[in-house]
Amino acid sequence: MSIPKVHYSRLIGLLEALEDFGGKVDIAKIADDLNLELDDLLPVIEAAELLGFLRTESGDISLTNEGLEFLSNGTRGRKKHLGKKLLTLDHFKKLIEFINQKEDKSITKEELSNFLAEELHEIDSKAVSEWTIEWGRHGLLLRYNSKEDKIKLL
Amino acid sequence: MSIKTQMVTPILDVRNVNKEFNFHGRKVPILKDVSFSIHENEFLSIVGPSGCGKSTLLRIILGLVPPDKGEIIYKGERIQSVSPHMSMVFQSFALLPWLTVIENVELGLEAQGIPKEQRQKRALKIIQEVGLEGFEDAYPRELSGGMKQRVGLARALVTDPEILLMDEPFSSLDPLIAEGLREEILKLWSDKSTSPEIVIMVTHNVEEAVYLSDRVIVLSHRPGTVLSEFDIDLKRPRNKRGQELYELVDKITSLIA
Repeated sequence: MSIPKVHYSRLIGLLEALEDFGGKVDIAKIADDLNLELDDLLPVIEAAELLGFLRTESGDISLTNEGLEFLSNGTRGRKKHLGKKLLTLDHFKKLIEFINQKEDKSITKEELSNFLAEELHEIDSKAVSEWTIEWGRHGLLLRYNSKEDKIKLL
Repeated sequence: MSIKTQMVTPILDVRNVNKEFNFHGRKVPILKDVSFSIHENEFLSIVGPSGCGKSTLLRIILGLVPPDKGEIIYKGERIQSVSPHMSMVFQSFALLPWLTVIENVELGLEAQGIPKEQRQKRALKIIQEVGLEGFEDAYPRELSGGMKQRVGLARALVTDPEILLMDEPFSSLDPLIAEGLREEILKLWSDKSTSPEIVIMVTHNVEEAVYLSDRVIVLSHRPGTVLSEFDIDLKRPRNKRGQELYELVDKITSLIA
């Protein structure tokens, strides 16, 4: 997985719930507690793991120190932390380089999708561009105006 | 009523509220003699079985629907039309799809005749507080359910209401999203420097009500009438999965079921 492919609000929900469980819990137990199917929960766990906020180990999930630090921030602090973290992912690093090369420092959604397919070899590049915009917005890295169809750096 | 709540003057008084609806020419009583008070800095939940009139009660409190009998008194004055001191968050978000996030939020201020520049400034501040920063230009269709409800929340808060009314605000959300959003509502409410001072939430989820509230009012089956009131004296931050909380949840649930 190159970037998280779940909604940010779900990631927050999982981390908050995990904190309530004292920072470590059996995956089946937390799924049951939250009334979620494992299939529903696993992509969220994967996303949190990719960002370094959570660790999985023999059926348990636990918060990492970084995850704890992330949670201790306010709404805005979390976004800033997230943004820094996203910048360590190849996906965002290369994308930002690509946008920066453009004369007006902006790209269209189609250009994003093409870039993801050709340069980053994403198979479902349309869906991945939606996630890219969503996470880029959350991490305060990107802006997107769908009326003008322009993706810009923040 | 508990001894604790009798000692301070209430901000809002719900007095003997009755409401009937016309249903195919037949009068159906929805609410019957509902009375209770709400005090400063209180988080109050109203729970009850579906159809007990709890959402109607919230609309009556707001001044959107008049009661047939009884009255709502806000700081000594009778509410007769939609109160500028309150705003409401809806289960269905109620966003305008052709407006962006910031435009939807500003809508809350437009009715008040506040100049454009000031509107934008206030909207941006609230957008930041509820975690919508970065999504100012997004349209509702580009947002997840959780983000849509944040817009609903921002639109309600932008007018700086003293009382925030919430009608099943989490029930159409994915459980994980609801989990995170509940925490944010608590943070907003407990921060004394920002509005609102009082939250009144209607929910069918007893666990959620006990976890969030200072007091829970239990309504009966239709016509809804106050069955019981519970002071939730658990220290905050609370353990959502603690034994004490579950005991209260069981007690309240047994009254409803």
